[in-house]
Amino acid sequence: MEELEQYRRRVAVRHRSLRRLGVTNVRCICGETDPVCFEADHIYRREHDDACWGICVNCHRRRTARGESEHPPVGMRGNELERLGHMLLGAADYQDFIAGHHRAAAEVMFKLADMGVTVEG
Amino acid sequence: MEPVGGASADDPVDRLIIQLRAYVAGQRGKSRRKADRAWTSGVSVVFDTETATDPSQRLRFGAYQIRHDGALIERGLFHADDAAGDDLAALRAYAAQLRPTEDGERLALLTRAEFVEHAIFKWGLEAGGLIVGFNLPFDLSRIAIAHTYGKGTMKGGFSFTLVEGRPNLRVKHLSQRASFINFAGQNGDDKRPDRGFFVDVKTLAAAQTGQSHSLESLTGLLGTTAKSPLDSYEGSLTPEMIAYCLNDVQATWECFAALAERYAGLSLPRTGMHELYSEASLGKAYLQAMGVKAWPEVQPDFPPELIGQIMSTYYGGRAEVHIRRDITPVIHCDFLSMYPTVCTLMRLWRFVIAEEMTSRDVTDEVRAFVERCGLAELRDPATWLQLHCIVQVRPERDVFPVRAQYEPDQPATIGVNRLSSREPMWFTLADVLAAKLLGGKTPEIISAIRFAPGDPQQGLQPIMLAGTEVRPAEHDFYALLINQRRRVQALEDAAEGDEKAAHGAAQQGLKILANSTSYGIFVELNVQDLDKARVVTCYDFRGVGRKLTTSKLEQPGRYFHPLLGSLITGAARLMLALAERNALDQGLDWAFCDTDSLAIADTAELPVGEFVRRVEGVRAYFEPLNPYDAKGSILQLEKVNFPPGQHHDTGALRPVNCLAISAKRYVLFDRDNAQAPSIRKASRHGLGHMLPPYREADKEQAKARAKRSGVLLWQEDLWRVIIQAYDRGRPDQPDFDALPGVEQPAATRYAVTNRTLLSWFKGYNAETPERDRVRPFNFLLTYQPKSQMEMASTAPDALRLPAWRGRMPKPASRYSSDIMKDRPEVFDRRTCEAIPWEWLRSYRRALAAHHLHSETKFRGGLGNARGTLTRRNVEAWAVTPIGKEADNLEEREVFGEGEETIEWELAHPDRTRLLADVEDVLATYRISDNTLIERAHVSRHTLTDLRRGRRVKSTSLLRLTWAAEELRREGVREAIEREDWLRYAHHLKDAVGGRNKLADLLGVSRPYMGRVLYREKPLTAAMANRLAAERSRRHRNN
Repeated sequence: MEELEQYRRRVAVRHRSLRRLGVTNVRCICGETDPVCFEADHIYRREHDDACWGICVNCHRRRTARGESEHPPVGMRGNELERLGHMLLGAADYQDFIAGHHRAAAEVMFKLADMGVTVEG
Repeated sequence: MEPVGGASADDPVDRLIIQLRAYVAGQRGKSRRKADRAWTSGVSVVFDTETATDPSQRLRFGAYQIRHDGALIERGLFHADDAAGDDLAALRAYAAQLRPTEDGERLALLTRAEFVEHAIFKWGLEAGGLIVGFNLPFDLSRIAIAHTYGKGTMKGGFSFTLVEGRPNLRVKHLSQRASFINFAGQNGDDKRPDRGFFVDVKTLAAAQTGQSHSLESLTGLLGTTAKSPLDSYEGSLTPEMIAYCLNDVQATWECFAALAERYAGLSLPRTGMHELYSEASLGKAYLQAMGVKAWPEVQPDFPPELIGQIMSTYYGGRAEVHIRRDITPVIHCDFLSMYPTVCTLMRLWRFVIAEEMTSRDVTDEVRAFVERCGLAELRDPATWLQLHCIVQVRPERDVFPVRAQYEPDQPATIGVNRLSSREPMWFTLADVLAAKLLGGKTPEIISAIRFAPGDPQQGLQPIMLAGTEVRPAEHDFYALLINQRRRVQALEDAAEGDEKAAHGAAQQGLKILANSTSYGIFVELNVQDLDKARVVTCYDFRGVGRKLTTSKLEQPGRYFHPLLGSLITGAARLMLALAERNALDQGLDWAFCDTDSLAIADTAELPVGEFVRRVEGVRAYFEPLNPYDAKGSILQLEKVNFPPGQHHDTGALRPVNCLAISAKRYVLFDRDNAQAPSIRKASRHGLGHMLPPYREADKEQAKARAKRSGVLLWQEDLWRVIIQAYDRGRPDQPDFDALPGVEQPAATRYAVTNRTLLSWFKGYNAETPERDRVRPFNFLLTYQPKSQMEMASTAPDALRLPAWRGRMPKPASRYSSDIMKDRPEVFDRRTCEAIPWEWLRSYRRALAAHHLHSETKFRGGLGNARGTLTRRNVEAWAVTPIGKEADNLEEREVFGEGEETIEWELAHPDRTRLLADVEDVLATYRISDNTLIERAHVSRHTLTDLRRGRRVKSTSLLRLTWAAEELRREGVREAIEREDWLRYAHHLKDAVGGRNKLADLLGVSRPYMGRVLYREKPLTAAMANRLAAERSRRHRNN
């Protein structure tokens, strides 16, 4: 395929993805910015509420896996308390992920500092 | 206080059907999701087309560029699918020698179909590219293969098929500067179709500069690659023509990039460039950036009945002529930023940012306020804070704005006249005070409502504006804008070169912003044609809602706030009334006014120094009302009052001569040493639609002239000829023959922007092969045929031809900017037949009555009457509730088409009253039903239905009413004449020695004569003729 056509297709896919997501730009908690790999993540678990936020596919999988293993449904469908409980745990998962990314970033900075790299404050 | 310019109590009364704005609750359209509105791809597709020069203006070839983040990635040429062999060969040869620029872009030569698929759909629609052009509707319609008509929100526009199997492209013309353009959905199931992104550089430039531009003038303004000149597109395709097209695309891109950079500097990320349609869009973008929520959003449950009453107080700016067709020395003054100034004085910004608006009854308070409020009180800024009121009055010869059709077959206009009404009506408090100032008495106040703003909204955000931080909750936005503008203006005056230009652009931007946020957006209503008639509720001045069926709807704009619209325009009229009152108190008069300006006239032949001193007295009155940092009067002296370049030197102030014909139609001029008129400022009203019969050779000089006097050379010459007629002592007979080219046909540019205008060519298109047909957005020339009378004297034989039998020809031709040079073939747009030039009305005939245009809204303003006009005594006969008013009156006068004012159905009390009055006239003046329906052009069934209480159209009832009123006036006139003759008959009886002698003298029977003399029988026309003959005979003998 011609290089320019390849380029056009990439732009078109990005445009389509942003329209699909209904936003003008994206950034996941992990730093991902390509809208193509974004998905809608149900904050309260799908069965309780349709409210979503967008995160990348990897983070979505991780969060879903953690949710299913660590706080599975209690079984009282439609119960407001269970809904709120899942919402709080979902938000806590995000904070955990963000905290994990912050820790990883801090490790990188320490390593760079150890290597003698300096940045003006 | 003495009444001014008023009619006396003896003046005849004009019974008129007055028009009041009403509110029709319509649902706001759904706004597009942010993601659908934001252009994020960075891709732009810029293109331009070149067309055949015949009336079809079909595509010949075009050029395009595709850019990503500004870098050129592809450019090329495209040609019509059925391009001629010569054209194709020329394009191939040119494309073969094209070389990539430093960007290393791809080069291409495509067919129209390939271009559409590749550039418009793949890069434009699929990749989210911005489709850019100059006058985009024209270019987009060139690359279409078929068209149909828009539906839903795009009703009134066109829907184009660019290629089979792809979404249609929809274009709806809004104004000469802007159109809605978007893609239709691919199919009905697509709930959220991609509408695409389009920027017409012409629209973007108009929104940012407040002026209409051609590509040539825009490149000059922005200092980008100039549009290259090309004399003609006729004949075979040449390399120069192709280079011209490529250059146009580059110039369009550079203009777009320059305007985009300017726009980025405004920091308005919430509104994309493709969402700007006018200066108002820019104003709304600023309000959005400050987080200001619109009033309909924050207070959706505000009583619609009250909105109806508020809307009825809305009238536009005041544009009037007072001294008509007499040359008078004037000093032309205008108010400093009128609308922002009254907004600041009344602190209306608090309403804009308020989380709600409350209302309360203040009838007694307002009665007392109006009673004590006079010139002195209105000089105090604190008084203006009391004006947030609407007042219900029962007008009794009070001076109020009256919107009505003052003469039959004339459009409705607004005139400040003496109004009487059986039913109470609402006006702003400012109008009531103006009525007291101008009418000399306080109107009878029935009730009054005061409005107050609530607390500021939550979430307001500061913005930066020309280097200053604006905190919306703390600052008065309007005052800040004007202060900032005056600071930048001072910098501009002191600077030179590029710096001067930069300051000039900044102050122009601030001016546009101040005007766009201080008025228009509050009364924005977008008329929408509905696919199906719908039942809506109409709220009028009576404060009640009633159901109507309509096929048109008015969608309120985002920042719709009718109270602000009414208060602002009402306060502006009060300012003018204050200036008028002060001028008259100083022993001066006024020649004309227009929204924010007043030409103060000296009719007492004062020495110049004294005239200037008195005008300074008028101006001094307004000094305390200046709400800005830089002090001085807000009533300013226009540059036209000073010799060129000396407007800062008040010592150089001297009056100019003024000749005003009708509203917005005037000229201001000086005399040179030889006493010849030198035009300082003139209006092009009534002339702007005509193609110039000749042009100025030097373009720079033409630009300087337009900037100086506001008109083109030929328009200036026309005004000069009109003034010279006064100098010759024959003001009614200007020597238009002195103008060059006046014998050539008067041509008008005509763009096919809607379905009705396209239907003009239905006959022509039916007789023409597909490729040669006139299509949407073509521009052509139209002409007026000579009148039958003129034809009878110049070409009597032609009147026997089918083209003239029972109708008038409808001439049109292809577009040409110089018809004398190109001699375009003129044809009848209904039959396709050729029309000789000899049948066309010349400029001389078309302009013949320019200097006699009537000012119908006042008494004494018709035809060749001259002098000071007096206010009419208007009796409000009935009220027609109306919607948004048409503002294209000039266009309507010429084409008979255009946006019409919506007239809602008459309310029941008005219908009943009108019918009763019609019956009354019929009975009083013994008028038969036949006479009435013949005069009204309605059927007998309509009159019968009306009498039986069945519903008939409001327009039919209004026609009957007009006809009855005409017949009544004629009846009154005849009755007066009859009385005169009867008096004369009695006088004659005494003179000849008795009834019998008189009967013998007139040749009628003696008993009949007696019955006539003693009113037992009416005095007939035949008897009046006999009396007239006898009187003439007696005159001759004496």
